[in-house]
Amino acid sequence: MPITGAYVNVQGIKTYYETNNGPHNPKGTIIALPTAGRESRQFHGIMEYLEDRYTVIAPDLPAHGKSWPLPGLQGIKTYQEYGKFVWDFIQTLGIEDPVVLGCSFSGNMVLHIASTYPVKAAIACQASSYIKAMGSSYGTTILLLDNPYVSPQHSHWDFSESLIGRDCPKEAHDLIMWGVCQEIGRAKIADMSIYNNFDVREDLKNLTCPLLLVRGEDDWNVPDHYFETAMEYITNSRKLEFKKVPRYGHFIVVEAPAIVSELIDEFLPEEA
Amino acid sequence: MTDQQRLEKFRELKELLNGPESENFREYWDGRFFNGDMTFIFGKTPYTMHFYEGTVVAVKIGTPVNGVYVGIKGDEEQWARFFANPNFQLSISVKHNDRPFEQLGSPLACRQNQSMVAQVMRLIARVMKEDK
Repeated sequence: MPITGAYVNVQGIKTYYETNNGPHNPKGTIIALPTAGRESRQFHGIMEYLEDRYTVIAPDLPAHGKSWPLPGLQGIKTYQEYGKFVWDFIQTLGIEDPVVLGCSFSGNMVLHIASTYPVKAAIACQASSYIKAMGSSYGTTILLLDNPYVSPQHSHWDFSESLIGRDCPKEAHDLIMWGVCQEIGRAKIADMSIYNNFDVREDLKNLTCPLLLVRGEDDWNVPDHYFETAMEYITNSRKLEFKKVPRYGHFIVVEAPAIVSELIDEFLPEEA
Repeated sequence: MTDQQRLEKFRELKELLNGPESENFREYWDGRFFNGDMTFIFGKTPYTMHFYEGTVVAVKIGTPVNGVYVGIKGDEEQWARFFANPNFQLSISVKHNDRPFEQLGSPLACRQNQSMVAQVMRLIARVMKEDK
């Protein structure tokens, strides 16, 4: 069955999501969260690859993609509210065995969600437990993403391009860059507000579910030591693995959906 | 490398940007929208490239008479490190780099023109590494 989209009301927000309509797998139902500023299409590769094995569901968070914004035409700006929204989305759909999957910004969110809510398992790609905002990540500079004299699409072009790995196929590369073309300044500000000064290190002791960390090694922006820092604080996970994937980059869920899908399937315990 | 030898490299860069790299710079990196100056400072020596709609019309040693619009400033060690790994975003990152390049110009101008400056920087690395 092809990928389909639908709307559901979450916290009063008309929220769009897509699913591959795949079979329920006893290992869990995959809830896939997009990278900063982007939306559910990032997971079409994984949805299609796993269509005979897993149900995969990817929401557009408020103000992203086809979902409505918050009142005041804004996105969610704190990681606690983001986590609560995702959890309420999961509850609204009646999913009892969520495996949360995120990449980059949403990989960070996965660490928070898995530390806070009773998810079955978690997959965090290009994730950090701690981000100190510095330089161009600070205050007024971030607001330039929603400045009438700045095109977020054009000004962010080189940054996104620089994060893509050497072996990323052209089709995936084009989808990533098309994602840049479609970014909404206010949505990006909301996500970057969460990303900057994010710190869940002390909360990670509460993360008990199985956790898979994945790093595309061509990503200069999320180096090994970010993962090592997170793992120092993850002391109670029932199963913790860190997998490195050479020659792919920051958008690894888009760049290498088959590799990520197989890592997920190999990692998820039969009885978590 | 002397200042004059480096100026010669910038002249090679002009030919590259107006020749084989023109379409890529103008179309993919949005250079067609760039009117004005980019200034690149090596130690104490500034090199300024004047553009009209993505075409380089002049290169010279010195700063623009109206002041720097956008550009990059670094010392010999910073440039050498960039030439070895021409990752522009890493070279300006204060989060991942203990000695990032200084970005010249207003935050607004830097943000507006970042992709164009990034591509010119990569091409600077290319010509500086080439021996004729």
